[in-house]
Amino acid sequence: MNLVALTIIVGAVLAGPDDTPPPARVAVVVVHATREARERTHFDPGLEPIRETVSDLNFDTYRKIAAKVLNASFEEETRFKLSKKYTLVLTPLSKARNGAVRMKVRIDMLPENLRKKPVAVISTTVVAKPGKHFRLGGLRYDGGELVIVMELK
Amino acid sequence: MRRCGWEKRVELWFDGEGAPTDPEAAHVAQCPHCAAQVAQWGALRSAVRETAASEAIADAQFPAFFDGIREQVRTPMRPRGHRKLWAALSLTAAALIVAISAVVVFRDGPQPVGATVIESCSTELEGATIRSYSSDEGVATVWITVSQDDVW
Repeated sequence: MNLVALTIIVGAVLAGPDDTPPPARVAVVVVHATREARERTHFDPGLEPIRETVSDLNFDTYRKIAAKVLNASFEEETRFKLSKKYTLVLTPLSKARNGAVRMKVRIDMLPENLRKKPVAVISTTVVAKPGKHFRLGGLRYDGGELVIVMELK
Repeated sequence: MRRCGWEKRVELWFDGEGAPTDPEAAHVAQCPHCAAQVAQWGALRSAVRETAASEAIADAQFPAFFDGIREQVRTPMRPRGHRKLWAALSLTAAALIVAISAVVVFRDGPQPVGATVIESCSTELEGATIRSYSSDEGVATVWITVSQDDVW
């Protein structure tokens, strides 16, 4: 009887939690950054949380294009359309015990010739920490550039 | 108080709870010693009746009652060495569970949460350069730069 109980308890302890973590929640804010010779930097409403994150960039106008929290399943591609031309692709790979998530982040650009394959304008692997911003930028867009600010929730 | 020659007879009469017409009853009525004894015995009997509500075993319960006694008498006692072995095994099992739990819980240990880390970055865009850096605010950044002449 004691051996049966011991086997059950040890088995439960060793089995541990399920191997597949729940989807990673990633907040994405897409900003159109331009230089418009303003005296004071302009931020669209809703962009206050990223003000510090972009304070070192050489733009004076930040307009909000989109904002969304993505639920990205591990080992799967989660797509989010940034504009007609660009698509963000997130692929969470693994999760550490401190909550950090290693993930592939890619921005695909549609070519002029739609018969051709999309071009990976940015392809990066990051270890995102919960509550810490990271950003991608430099993508040409409507007289300015796109800045994508992300945060692992 | 002096003893009375009727005392033994009176005691037997009292135990048999004789009738008031017996000679012993007439004697108790005259003898202060025997009257005191009877009063004392009566008080004692009343007290015992009030406190002792003895558990009665009905006739129908006797077979089961004796079966229980027989079973306990016949059951051999577990040897002391066997008991010690089980106690040792239980202690060992408990210690093992604690040790395994500690290893499972602390094997990776808590890790500090720092800034996001850029492990690698690249681009498929011809003529573009890409770099990763951390801003003064500690924000991990991947930035792509293309020449002004490029159309994309």
